Amino acid sequence: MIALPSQEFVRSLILEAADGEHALDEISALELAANLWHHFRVEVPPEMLVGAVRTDRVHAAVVAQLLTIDAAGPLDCDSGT
Amino acid sequence: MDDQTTEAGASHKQPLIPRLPETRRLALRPPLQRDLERLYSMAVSSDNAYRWRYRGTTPSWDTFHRQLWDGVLAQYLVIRKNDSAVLGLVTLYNANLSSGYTYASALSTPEATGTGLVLEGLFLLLEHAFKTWNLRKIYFEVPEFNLDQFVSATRRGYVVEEGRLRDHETLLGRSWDLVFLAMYRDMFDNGPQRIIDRLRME
Repeated sequence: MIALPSQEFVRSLILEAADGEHALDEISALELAANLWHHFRVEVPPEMLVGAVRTDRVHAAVVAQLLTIDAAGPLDCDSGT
Repeated sequence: MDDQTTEAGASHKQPLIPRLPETRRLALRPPLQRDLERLYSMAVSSDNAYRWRYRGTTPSWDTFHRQLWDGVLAQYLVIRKNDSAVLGLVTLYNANLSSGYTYASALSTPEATGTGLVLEGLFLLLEHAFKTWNLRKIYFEVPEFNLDQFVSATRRGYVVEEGRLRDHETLLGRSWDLVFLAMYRDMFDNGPQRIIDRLRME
């Protein structure tokens, strides 16, 4: 049985990676991808994470990857949402 | 003898022959003759025409070929392992090994720009540099119009500004500073090294 991460935990990883910025830049996305792999062994390509600001989209991608379902599309998160 | 046995035993886990660093999805390989056309195309592409070396000019083929290795300590293509696609070029240049520094640069294909892929490749190059030579720090020579790309790295303490030539370049109708950023060995160990260690874990 797969242990799915909570949105709160994913949110904490995003906030840690974003380091106070509004959205994830390349370094932040790399760090988040590294931490997602480290914690869950789930591979979310950093290029899908660049620009992400919404926890639920990242969480959905992580869960989808964990369930080996393709994460649909880029994590295109509008700024300000 | 015991030590040798121990070393031989340890070799099952860690090869004794050093290899170029890689992550699960990216590797580095030296550019070959067959890559030159692609590299020229990258260097003068619209995304890189001003940001990289040539500042809007298109050097002759011979000039490009010759300058590609001018002052280079080591340079590698960033390769995606699953399809061998070339994503960029990362370079160590103008090294002074007796003083323990070198400069580093990165060039992306248009497709890889802004994706973090070439940044991951650059981190691999920096690991290679710090592990291969007794370097104290690595410099990044950044025109002011490229400085946005380093804001996050500066805020995180991965690099620090060590010099600035005021109004050094005139381009597109205005003057720009040339900024020298430095990444010391401990900055690399505490930041980029930690990230790529996690990206390569099995």
